[in-house]
Amino acid sequence: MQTLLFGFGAIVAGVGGIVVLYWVLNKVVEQLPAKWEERLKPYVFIGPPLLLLGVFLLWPAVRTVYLSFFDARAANFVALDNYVRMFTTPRYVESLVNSLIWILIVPALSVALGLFVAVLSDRLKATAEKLVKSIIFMPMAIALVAAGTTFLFIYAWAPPGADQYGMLNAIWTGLGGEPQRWLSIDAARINTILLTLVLVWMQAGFAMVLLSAAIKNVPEDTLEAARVDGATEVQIFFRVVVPQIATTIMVLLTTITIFVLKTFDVVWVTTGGRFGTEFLPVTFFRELVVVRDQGMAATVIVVILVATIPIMVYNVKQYRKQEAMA
Amino acid sequence: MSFNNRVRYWLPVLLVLALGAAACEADPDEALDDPDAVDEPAENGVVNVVSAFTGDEADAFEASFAAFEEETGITVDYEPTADFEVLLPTRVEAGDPPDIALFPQTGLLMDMAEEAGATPLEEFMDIDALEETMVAGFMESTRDDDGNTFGLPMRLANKSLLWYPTPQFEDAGYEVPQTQEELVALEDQMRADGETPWCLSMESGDATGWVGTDWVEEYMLRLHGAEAYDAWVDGELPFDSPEVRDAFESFERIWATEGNVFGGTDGMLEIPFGDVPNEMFQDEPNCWMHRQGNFITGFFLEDVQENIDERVGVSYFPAFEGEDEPVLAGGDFALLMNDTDEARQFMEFMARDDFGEEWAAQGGWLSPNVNFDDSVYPDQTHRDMHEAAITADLVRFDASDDMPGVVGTGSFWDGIVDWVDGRATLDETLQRIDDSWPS
Repeated sequence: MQTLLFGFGAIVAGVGGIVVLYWVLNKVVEQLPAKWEERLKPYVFIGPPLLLLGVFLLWPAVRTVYLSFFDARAANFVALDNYVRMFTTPRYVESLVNSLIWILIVPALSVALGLFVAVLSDRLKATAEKLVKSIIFMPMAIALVAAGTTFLFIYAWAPPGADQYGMLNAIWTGLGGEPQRWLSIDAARINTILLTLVLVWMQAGFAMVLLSAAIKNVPEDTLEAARVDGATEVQIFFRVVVPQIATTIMVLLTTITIFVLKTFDVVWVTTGGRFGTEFLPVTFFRELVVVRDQGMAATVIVVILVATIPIMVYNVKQYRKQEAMA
Repeated sequence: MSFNNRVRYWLPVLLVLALGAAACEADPDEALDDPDAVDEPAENGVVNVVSAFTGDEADAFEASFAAFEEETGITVDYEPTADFEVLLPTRVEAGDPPDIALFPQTGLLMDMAEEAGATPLEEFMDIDALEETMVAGFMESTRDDDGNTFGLPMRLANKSLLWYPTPQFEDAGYEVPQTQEELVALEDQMRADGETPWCLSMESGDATGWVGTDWVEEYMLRLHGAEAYDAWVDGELPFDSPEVRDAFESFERIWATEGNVFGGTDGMLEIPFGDVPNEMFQDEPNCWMHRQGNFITGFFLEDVQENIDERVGVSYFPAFEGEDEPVLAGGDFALLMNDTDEARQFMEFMARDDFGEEWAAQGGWLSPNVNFDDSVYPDQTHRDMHEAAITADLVRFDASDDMPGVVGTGSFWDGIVDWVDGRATLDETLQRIDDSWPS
C-alpha cells in the first residue's frame, strides 16, 4: 500500500514538476524583450528533453566507447587490446558468427512468413482473416523469457526409454531415432538456428500486421491493369505488389535486425550461451555480470553499435521516404 | 511597472529559486559527503544489510535477528535481492554500499572489500577467539595478503556429503562406503547387479557446471591436501599440472565409466541438478548414490522430506584409505562495509555461538560455529551434517567461488560442461581454463 502511494506520488510529482518547470521557464522567457523571447522560446521547450537524452543516452554511449579502450576494472588504458581479443579469441569469434546467423535468419524468415500469411489471409473472408491474423499475432504479446521457456519444452530431452515430453524428440523417436539434445548440436549451427526460430515465431506476426496493411494499400486498379494485360497471379505478386510494398519490407527488415541485436533473453534462458550458442547480446551480459570485465563488455556494445548504425540510418531514410509517399 | 506587473515579473524567478533550494535540501547523500559522519554512531540506530536471501530464507534470517533488534533497539533494515551479484557491485561503484553485505562467494567479497575499503574483522573483534569458534580453515579464503580477515562466517554449507536411500540400500545389501576404495568397489558391485550407481547431473540454468567443479574440488582436496588446494585457488598451481589433472581424472572415472551415471553424459547436462537425487527414492531406484551439499534436501520430494530420517541416509563423502578427511564447504560471509557502531554490533551478534537458532530450527541452515547447540536442528540428518563439518580434519571453501570470477564462475564451469559433453578433450579443457586466468 505504501509502495503504491509512493508510486502514485512519484507520478504526480514527476508530471506536475515538469508542468511547473515548463510553465515557469515559459513565464521567464515571456518577460524578456520580444526579440529575445522569439529566439529563446524554442530552446526552452526543446532544451529539457535534449538534456535528458544527452545525459541518459548520448553520454553513456560516448562513455561506453571510451571504456572499451580500458581493462576489466576500467582502470588502465589498454588501447585496442579488447578489440584484438574480440576478433581473435575463438569464443568471441563464435559469438560473432552466431550473431551473423541471427541477423540473417530472423529478419528474412519473419518477413517471408509474415508476407506469406498476409497475402493468403487477404483472400479469406473478413472474420476468418481476423481470426487467422490474431492467432499469428499472439506470440508478439508473449514475453521473450516465456517464449524461450516454451520452446525449451519443444526441444526438451529425456533419457532413452523414458517418456519424451519434448515435442521434437517425441516426433524424432516416433520415427525411430534416438532422443537428441537438440540445443547442444552445434554441427552446422543447428542449435543456434533452432533458437532463432523462437524469435521468428514471435516476429512473424509483427511483420504480418504491417505487411497486411501495406498490401491493402496497393491500389486495386494496378492489379486490374496487370490482369487485363494477361499477367499470372504469381507475376502480379512479384512484379506489381512487392515493388509497391518494398519500403515496408525494408523498414521491417531493419527494425527486426535491430531488435535481434537487443534480444538477449531467449538464448539466456534456454542455453545460457553454452554448447556454442553464445551471441553478442549474451556475450555482453556475461562479460559485464559474470566475468565482470567492463572493458570487454563495452567493446561488445561498441561492436553492436557499429553494426547497427548503418541499419538505423538506412531505416530512418526509408521511413522518411515512406512518410513522404503517404 | 505597477506592483502587479512586478509580481508577475519576479514570481517565476522566485519559484525557480525555491525549487532549486528544495532540491538541494532534499539531497539525501549530503550527509555522506562529510567523511567524519560515517564513523560517528548514527543517531537513527539503523543498520542496512543486503544479501541474496529471499523468500523463506529472508523470513528465517529476519527471525534470527529479531532478538538483536529487541536487545539493542537498533533497527535492521534488511534488503533481500535475487540479483545480489549485480546489485552490490553497482552500489559500491556508486559510492553507496550497504552497512553490511552477506556474500555467498568469497571471490566477490574480496573484490568488494578492496573496492569499498571495507573494515577487517581484526579492527573490532578478537580474531583468535573467533578462529576457535568457527569451523577450522573456513575464514582462510577471506584473508588478504597483509593478513587482514574480512569475512565473518554466518552460514555453512557442507558439500562433502554422500546421500543414499536407506531402506532400498539395506534391502539390496549394500554397505555405506567408508573409503574411496570401498566406494569404487561398491560402484562395481552395483553395475554387476545391473544397477546404475550415481545420480549425478550438472544442469543448473545459467550456472550449469558448478556441480562438476565441486566434484573436481572434492578430489583435489582428497588427493593432494590443503597446500596444493590453496596454491591452486591462488593461481600458483595451474590447471594443467599433474595434481589438478589427477583430480579431473578421478572425476572422469565417475562419469565416463559406462553405466555409472543415470542418463549418461546427456542426462548430466539435461536433467536439472535438483531433480536427479529423487531418482534414488523410487521403490526401484534408477540410481543409488548422490554427492551434494546439505541444501539438496530442499529439492527432495515432499514425502521424502517429511520422513527424511527414515528414507534418506547421509554420510561423509569418503576420503582415501588412511588419508586426511577434508570437507568441502560453501557458505555465507558478512562483510562490514560502513564502519558504524550499529553495524559493528550486528557483526558481533552474528558471531555469537547461538546465532541462527531460529533459522536452524526451520532446516536448510547449518551453523559455522563449533559451539552451536545442535539440538535445535529439526532432525538427525541436519545434526549429522553439522557434526561432519565441525569434526573434519580440514575445511576448505569451494575453490570455484574463491577463484577470480572469470575462472570460477566462467571458464571452470564452461570447461567442465564442454569436457563432459565431448566438445573438448581434457588437455584442451585444462589449457583453456589456464588461458582464461587473469594475468
